[in-house]
Amino acid sequence: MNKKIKLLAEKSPLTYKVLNKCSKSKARKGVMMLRETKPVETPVFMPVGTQGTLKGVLVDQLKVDDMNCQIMLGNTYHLGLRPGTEILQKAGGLHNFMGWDRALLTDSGGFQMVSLLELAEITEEGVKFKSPFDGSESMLTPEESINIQNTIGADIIMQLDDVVKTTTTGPRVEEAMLRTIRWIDRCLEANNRNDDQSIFPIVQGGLNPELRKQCAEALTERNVRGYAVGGLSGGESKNDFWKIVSLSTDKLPADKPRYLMGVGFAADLVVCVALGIDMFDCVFPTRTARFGCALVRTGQLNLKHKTFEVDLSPIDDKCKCSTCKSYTRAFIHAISNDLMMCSLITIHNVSFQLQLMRDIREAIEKDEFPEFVKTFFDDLYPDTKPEWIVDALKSVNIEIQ
Amino acid sequence: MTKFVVESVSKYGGRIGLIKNVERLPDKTFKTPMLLYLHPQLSREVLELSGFELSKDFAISLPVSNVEQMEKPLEISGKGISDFWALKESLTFCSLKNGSIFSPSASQDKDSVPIYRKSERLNITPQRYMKMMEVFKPDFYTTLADGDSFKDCPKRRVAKASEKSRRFYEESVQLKKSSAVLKNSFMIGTIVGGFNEFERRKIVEEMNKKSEDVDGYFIDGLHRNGHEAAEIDVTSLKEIVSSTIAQLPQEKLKVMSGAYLPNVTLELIAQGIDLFDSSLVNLVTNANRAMVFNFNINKPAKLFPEIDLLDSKYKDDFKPFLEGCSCLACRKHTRAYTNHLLTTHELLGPMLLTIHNLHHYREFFATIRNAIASDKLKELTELISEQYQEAEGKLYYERKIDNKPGKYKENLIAKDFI
Repeated sequence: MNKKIKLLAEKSPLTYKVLNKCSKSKARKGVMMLRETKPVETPVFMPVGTQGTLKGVLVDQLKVDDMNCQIMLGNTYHLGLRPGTEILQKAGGLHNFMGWDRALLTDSGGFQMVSLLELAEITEEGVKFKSPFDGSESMLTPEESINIQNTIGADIIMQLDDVVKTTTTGPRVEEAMLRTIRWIDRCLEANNRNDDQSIFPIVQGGLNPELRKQCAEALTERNVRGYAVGGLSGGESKNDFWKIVSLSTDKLPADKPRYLMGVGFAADLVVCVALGIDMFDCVFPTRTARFGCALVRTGQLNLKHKTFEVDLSPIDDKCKCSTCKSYTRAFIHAISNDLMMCSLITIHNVSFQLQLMRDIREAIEKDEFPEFVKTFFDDLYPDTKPEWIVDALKSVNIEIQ
Repeated sequence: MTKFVVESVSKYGGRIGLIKNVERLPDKTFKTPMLLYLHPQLSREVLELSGFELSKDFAISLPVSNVEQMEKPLEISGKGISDFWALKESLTFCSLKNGSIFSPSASQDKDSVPIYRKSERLNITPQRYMKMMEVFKPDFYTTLADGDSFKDCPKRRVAKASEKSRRFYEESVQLKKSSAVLKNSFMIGTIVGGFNEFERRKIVEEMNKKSEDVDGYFIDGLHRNGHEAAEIDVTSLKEIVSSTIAQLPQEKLKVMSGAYLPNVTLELIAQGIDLFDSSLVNLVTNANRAMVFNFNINKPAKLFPEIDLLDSKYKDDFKPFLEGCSCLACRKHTRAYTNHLLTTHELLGPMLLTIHNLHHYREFFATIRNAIASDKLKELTELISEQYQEAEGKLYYERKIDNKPGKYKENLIAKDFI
């Protein structure tokens, strides 16, 4: 290959490389190179900064060595409303607007519309909705979603998909899956910044394995740089959940990153990494922090509870986050009516998620992932382990019983 | 033990003092006039990333009304409250109430002063208060007093508050002497009595009987905190403060708390007040505003002192709050981003404002110290006063009441209040 072509190839806005594979399960460690931002190591958890900020946290706090957050998520629906595309355009995109020079991912806005707005209606053209401010009718088409995401300027952007509740059955599920495939083509066509923003298509198909397979296969034919698995984590049984995840990773190409949308409980992260997922996002760690809940490997602590009034240990004595370095559980308990509580626990919870992913990556690199998984679940469930976790891990040759 | 010395007095007003030999911080010297960071809500990491030099001259104020609940854990830990707050290298001050939160007049009894936590009334006695000081171990603290008075407060209320506070003062002195922990502590006598010179004199005379019992003076009871200090009548304030100070030993530390505007603060400094807290930073931040008043006497441009970042005119203004400001918020963020954060009620909005306002106000105090040392306090006062005169009546501060004692109306006086 001559030098010029090689340089051009390197200029792809997203290149993904698997660095290590677990010798038993489908877990893999990899690295995503994104244009003009630092590399993102996978498996990765992406904290959610819905409106262009993580609640009560400075971007500099996310960049300190012990935290080292490499990618964050923003919500297109919220950002499109406020500050709106006009201001984001003037600011030169969300990176500039919020002062974040690392990677960003935005969703399509469709999911929020369907879940937040009662009157949203999905047609072939797009998602029809009433403005929450003035009640006027508008339409979010696949093209419009990509337009907005082009203005926001995240490194990874998501296709508009037709989301149905996971518990939906019947022809609606198939309709949504087929429409999602039709919409990815419209999204790819509409992308004006294909050379610096990568669209991920989304595998849909509810809990029906056949539909999921069909969707994954169809999406694989498109020229894209990564894939997402959507429509899960919405109240379906865990037994159905893991099977669909596993089936989807089987069908998706091994040389591209796979993103499982909306999943972020520690146990789910560990299981789904074993099933071959590389990227996750979830509001849970940051949302629960606002209610005084801190995450630890054995579950979570509600620091507002009286039991912590005189507990002079840090949230987790092994944790390296700035909260655990400086403050005790008793202190956080004592300030649970003050603004600082949210900031302190958010920092810890995000750090908890990122540290878990770091430990996972390290275990995969040393090919000790199955042992890691066993220890992790022994700590989390010292007595009986949930059946679905045992089954899911058994399916990828990891025994934890 | 902790010492305060007046280093120099400028003939053009104001004085430079030094706080040194602090038992916990033997190598440090703190220069007055100084600003105490009131009830810190920026974490240690945020303060450090924002460029505040915690190891240098950082000083904090922790009001009992905010930290009463920390007595139990601190009793067990045996460490002081600044350690608990992860700011142990900061000079630490304790008093009863938070100067930034309006504290409506409440009914009083003879033996205690009420504070409110989560709408629950707690009656603080001198015994309980001094017990907290033993546990919190601040580097200096005020004595418990009944400061529930204000400009047009009924005379009988002032008389009762003054009488009660005299008793509390005597009790505090006794409690201090008999406490192994507090014996050598730096205790500041609280002087109350509204705008009534006669009542104030009575308490000062009590203190002056044995002036070695007290290490400084806290001039309190002039307002009920919050917006009341920002809107205080300056002429009567100056009169009462000046008559009070005239009766006090010159060489001792003088402290005031509350959101006095910068021009008023300068008048108080000219009279010899050494220590203030950052109540105004909280008030300005709560009003979604950034302080931008100019204190550079070499470039005496006059600016409107505060900008309202919730105003939609800033929604696409990508400039910093204040051109040339070196705080983290101005270096890394914009008015537009902050406008967005405030519009969407994101916690980072008030955080960025606090970072800027605290930085600006601390810089203002550094400038004041330089101005006093170079006999330029007058020029500085003129520059600041002109900017605030321009803004008179245009700066509204929210009536923020955190600990609501039941239903409250602005000037309502509870039946059993007097």
